[in-house]
Amino acid sequence: MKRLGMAVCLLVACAAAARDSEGALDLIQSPHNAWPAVVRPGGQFEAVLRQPAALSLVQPGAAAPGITLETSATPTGAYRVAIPDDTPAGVYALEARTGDAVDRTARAVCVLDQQPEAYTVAHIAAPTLGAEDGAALRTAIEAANRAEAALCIITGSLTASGRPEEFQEFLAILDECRAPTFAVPGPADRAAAHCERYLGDVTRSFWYGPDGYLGIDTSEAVPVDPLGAGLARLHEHRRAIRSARWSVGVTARYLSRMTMRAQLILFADDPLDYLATSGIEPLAEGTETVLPWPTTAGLVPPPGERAVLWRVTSEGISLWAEPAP
Amino acid sequence: MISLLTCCLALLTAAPGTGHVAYVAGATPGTRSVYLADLGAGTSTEVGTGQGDGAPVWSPDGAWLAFTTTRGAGRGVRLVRVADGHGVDVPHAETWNEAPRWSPDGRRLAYAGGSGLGQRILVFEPATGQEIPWGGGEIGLMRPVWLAPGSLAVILLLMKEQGEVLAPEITQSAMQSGALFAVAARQGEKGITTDIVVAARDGAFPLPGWLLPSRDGAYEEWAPEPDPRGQRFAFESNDGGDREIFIVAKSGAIDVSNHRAADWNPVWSPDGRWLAFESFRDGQRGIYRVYRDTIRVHRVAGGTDYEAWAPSWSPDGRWIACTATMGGVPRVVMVPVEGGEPRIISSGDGAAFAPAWRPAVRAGETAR
Repeated sequence: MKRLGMAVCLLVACAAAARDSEGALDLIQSPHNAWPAVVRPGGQFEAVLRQPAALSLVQPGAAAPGITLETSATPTGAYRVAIPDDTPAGVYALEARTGDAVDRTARAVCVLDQQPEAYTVAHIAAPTLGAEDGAALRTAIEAANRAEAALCIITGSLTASGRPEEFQEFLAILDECRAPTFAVPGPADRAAAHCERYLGDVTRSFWYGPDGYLGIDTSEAVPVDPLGAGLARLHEHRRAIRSARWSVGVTARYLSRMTMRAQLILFADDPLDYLATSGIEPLAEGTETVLPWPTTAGLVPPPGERAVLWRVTSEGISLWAEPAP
Repeated sequence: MISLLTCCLALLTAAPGTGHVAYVAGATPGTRSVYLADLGAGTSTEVGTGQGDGAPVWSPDGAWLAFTTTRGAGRGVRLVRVADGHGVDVPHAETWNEAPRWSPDGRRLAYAGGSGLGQRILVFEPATGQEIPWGGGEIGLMRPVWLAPGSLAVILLLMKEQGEVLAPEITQSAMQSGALFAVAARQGEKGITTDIVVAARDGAFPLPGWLLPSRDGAYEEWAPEPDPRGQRFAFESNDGGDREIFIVAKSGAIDVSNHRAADWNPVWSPDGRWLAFESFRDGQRGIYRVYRDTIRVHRVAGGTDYEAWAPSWSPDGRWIACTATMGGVPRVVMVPVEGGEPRIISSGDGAAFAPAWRPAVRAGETAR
């Protein structure tokens, strides 16, 4: 079994592509390179924009205009975006134009022309940019590229303290991944109140082939806001992937202190099949770090590992041995 | 003189345009504060701390509000007397405290102290300033709610009829000091389970399985809510494949919300005839009400064109205050129980949540 290595290499600092001048989300709030839309030719996805804008898909390195997209407003204020039937498969930038303003978000839309039954997911846990340099994250992404991972999920803590420069470095390295990348922050990422500017709303879901993936925000201070709409969003996104072959939650850390309502949604009423996470908080000292809900299996990198490959097949999800080069 | 006495004793009911609703508002979770809306004056006054206040709950006499707020590295319960803004921080043994609920006589406040499955039920007595563990200090108890005096008698009677005998000290403790429902969340061989228990000061006992729709304990119960008259109680369970609202009376348990979409958070009307609850049956979360005897469900707010949650009945049962996403922003609104246009209660452009309608009070009680 060969897992993704975390070797040290030189950090090449660069600004995150697109977004605003600080790398924060701008006109396009969603989707983006840390949680792209996954859609089939002829399919639709939901976009959240700061103001109405004309949208197009742009291939990496290509000059605009790209593939013009039709949009329609939804009751929630978001936009339903239709992908033309003849759109070639690939990972695209999403461009929004309104007046003189242009926002192009790299790697925001993944167009799939197949429904893979078996595929590989790269999982990078707690890269903690700021406390660690970007070398380990870059090495893990190189390994994901080498393994031709279909998806790359990154579970928090993404940064050490949630500072803008840490998010900028994280997003810049993320763009080196050829597969679509899905990042879920942890408590440290929320420490400085910049997280939402860079990553937007975390509670989202998507389908990849027959499988459904659900982003879950478990921050230390307010584990799934009990006052707000967060619980309904969690429920709705869980229901949205209810018919999936495998339903996979993606979160920074399982905390037994999550509101019981959130735990009932995720692990009792419609129990997830898997929870991919950086760690599981033990219920008591000395207890095993397994999820305390029996029908959901934890996908946690083994001790000492911070990046792994999961193989997803009709049999289930398990650690995967990367083929020899 | 008689008419004067009648006026003094008359219930100050909340008719449309009058009354008070407490709610939480703030730009960010960490700066949220409790506000008090005067529906007659159309004003809102801040009565909270502005430090991440939680959902407010009224004392039965309408004189005090209780809510959690940020305290150090955790959360503590704060009491505020609305007449003069006098505040009391409940002294806690635990760092994390949540879900306060007043006893029917207003002399005690129960809440869950501790973290995760390590929570236990604690009761604060304002008169003595003491915080006392309830349920015999049992660990894994959360979300307490006081039983109306009659509820306990009904449960004990039913148990006696079935030949179930409780430890005399628990029965005696419950009859003397009152009792409350709590949810026991424990990790067993099959993982975490949530079950409803009755907790007295000196111990707790599980609700008998034959009182519940499923007797084998295979489902996860939550949110027990006794009716104001002490004759019934409602609760949630995922029995049947998705989350439903059940009512338990002497005749047994009935699924009153039966729908394939999830149904949450039962809240009794003041007269105990109706239950409001949240449901996703029309696409997004809305507020519905069901008549306890006919099990006929009516939509009140949200569900289709906007989202609505957290219902709170007006004292006369004619209105429901709730949180509603108006224009994409959560605001506190009031809606006639028959349905209709929501009227915004909360002030400002910011997000507002968790309304609590001030209960009907007899004149003079608010001075306590």
